[in-house]
Amino acid sequence: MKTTKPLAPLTPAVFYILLVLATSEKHGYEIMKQVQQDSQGQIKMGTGTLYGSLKRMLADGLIEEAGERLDPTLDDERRRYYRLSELGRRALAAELQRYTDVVVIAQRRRLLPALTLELTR
Amino acid sequence: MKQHQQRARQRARAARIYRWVLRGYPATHRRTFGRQMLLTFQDHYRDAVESHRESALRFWLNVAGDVGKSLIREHVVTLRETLRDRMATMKTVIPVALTTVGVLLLLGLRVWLYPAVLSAPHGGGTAVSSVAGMAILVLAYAVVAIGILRTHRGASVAERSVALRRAALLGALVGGCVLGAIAVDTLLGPDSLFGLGVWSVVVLAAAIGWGLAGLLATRAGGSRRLGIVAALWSGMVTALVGAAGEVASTLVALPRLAQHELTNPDYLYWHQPDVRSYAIASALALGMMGLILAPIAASIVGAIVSWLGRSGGLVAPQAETAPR
Repeated sequence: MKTTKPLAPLTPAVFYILLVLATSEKHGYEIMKQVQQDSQGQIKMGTGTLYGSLKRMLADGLIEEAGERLDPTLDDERRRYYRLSELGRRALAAELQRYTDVVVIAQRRRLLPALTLELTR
Repeated sequence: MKQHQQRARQRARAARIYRWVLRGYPATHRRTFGRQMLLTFQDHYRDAVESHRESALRFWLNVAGDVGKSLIREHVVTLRETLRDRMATMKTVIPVALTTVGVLLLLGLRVWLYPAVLSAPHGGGTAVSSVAGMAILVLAYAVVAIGILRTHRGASVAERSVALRRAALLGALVGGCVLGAIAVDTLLGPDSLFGLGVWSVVVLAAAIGWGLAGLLATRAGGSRRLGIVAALWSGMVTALVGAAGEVASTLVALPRLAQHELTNPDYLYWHQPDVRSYAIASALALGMMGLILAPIAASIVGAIVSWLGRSGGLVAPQAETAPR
């Protein structure tokens, strides 16, 4: 049963998984590897932790299964792919907006003097 | 080539170990994700150990840490879900159990206060058949109720619990109308015009109440089956309340009931010596009739309403969901 909770802040693991799936469908190991890269090694998920998170994200409606297919770079076993759901897309957008808002405040308070990125709302 | 074969053998051995580790996870988790977890593990092993990004020792230490954390977490989550489902089921079981026990206690009290009913004739048979029949039917209700609660097809436990609680409430409201009709019959006699009018209203209330129980369940769960079960549940609650009312009327107003029987053509035909036993047995027989007919009628109403609800566009056709 999909939950209808408001878009509350996400845990780091969930956030990075959503970020990874934002651009394309991926299977378990691709998600695991990309999360580690995107978080620069700060989020290291093992198989058990990854699938625990995927299970809860499926239950919360943040992601969907996208069928099973072969990964041409690996062996000939069919792997289950995952993709963002509409709710997951909105949750990710809300979380990114939260981060953006925080960075804008930090810029105004000159806590990030070296940041030259123009952020527009 | 030899190195490739050796790597393949080591990977297969690692996969065997992990397959054995996966047995520690809860069965539902294993069934849903077990194969994918094994594939992901093999991908990770290939990428980390065979590519020499990590030593085998470090790899296995990380796996042990991950398994330790995730295994405990999944078992705690599964236990929490099981307890939540059991609590939801208990909330629905307790009112049914209390009503069943209540009716049996009332019946027992009735027999204890007037044991002559066990040996008195009633019509062509004996009054004890009414007593025994009602007790058996009430116990059968309890068995059917447990069967309904333990079946998990077509809807999640949470959806089912909500549907059955709603149905029980509607059934109890209709049961309240039945109690009113029994009270009118007790006061004015079963043949009064006003009493017939009240029973007509009760029939209408029953159709509306059971139908609403079925429709709400169909809309909430998207399942025709759940709609029929909810209507049946509602009918069962009404019948139990009605049966309790009939037994209670023999406890509270036996002299009045006996008075009504004195003008009953059936009673006069059979020349029964004990009018009170006859009155008790008649009331119990009416209760038994309700216990048999109400669920059947409720199921029919539920089936019609669920079918109309789905095909009439009140419920989205894609809402027929698989159980989780």
